[in-house]
Amino acid sequence: MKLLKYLIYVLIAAFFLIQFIPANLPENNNDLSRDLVVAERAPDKVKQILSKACYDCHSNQTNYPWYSYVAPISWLVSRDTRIGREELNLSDWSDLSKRKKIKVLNEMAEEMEERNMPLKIYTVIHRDAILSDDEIKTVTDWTESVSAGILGD
Amino acid sequence: MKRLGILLVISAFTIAVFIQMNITGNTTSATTDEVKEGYKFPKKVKAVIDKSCYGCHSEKGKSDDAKEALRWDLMDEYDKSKLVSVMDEIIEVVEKQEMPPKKMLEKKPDLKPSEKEYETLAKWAEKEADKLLD
Repeated sequence: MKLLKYLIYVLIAAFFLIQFIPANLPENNNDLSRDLVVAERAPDKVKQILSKACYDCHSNQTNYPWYSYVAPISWLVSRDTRIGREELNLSDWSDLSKRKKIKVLNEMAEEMEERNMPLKIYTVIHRDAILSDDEIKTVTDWTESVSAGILGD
Repeated sequence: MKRLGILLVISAFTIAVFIQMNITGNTTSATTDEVKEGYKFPKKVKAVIDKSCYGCHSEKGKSDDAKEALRWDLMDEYDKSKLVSVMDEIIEVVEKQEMPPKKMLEKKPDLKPSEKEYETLAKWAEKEADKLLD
């Protein structure tokens, strides 16, 4: 019993101590000039879906809730956001070549249709990021039309 | 004289049937060839694909992941945007020499393309993508 008490004290102390380890959450940036939804003039519906399901990890406009500042969750959020932006940062859309743009649009549609994205670990908390079939179709119809526009079709 | 006449008619008939058969036969084979030909690869490129890629990225491949990512034998069915995506992916994969997978190369080192073969594939993919984007 004494041991259990001791263990709880240690855990609480550890919890406070780890708060001092910097999480290095990737910084946000409000420059929207090269952003996908701005550059390609996405309709509001598409904007809303991308914003709630993709932009937390795949843009420089991450919405950090209060618990994302609390270790060890902060470490996880920091890691996932960094990896997400490295993989694809929709805030840098205009920097991509035509070829890359078409691939990104294709992959966005595929990942959503196969429900690989958004990740389960994200939708566990962000319930509104679980997209309906209609929402997915709204996005994939749009990505297709943007792609066709780039191809000049 | 009568017999000769009958013989002539029969031979003429047979020849006519043969000609017909050949014509029909030719047309059929021409059509099927065209369908089967599919996407056109330059010889050098095809050699690299056959050697290093086709085993997994075609009907005969065992890995579903590989087949989902790319099917060389179905490339003629891809639409323009999918083709551009595939070309971009090929360029990326070749640049990083990510394919064939390391595990596969441990088992079958012969599958590894030479630097020149990698380059052939990348250059071809770039050209194809440029053509599609023109």
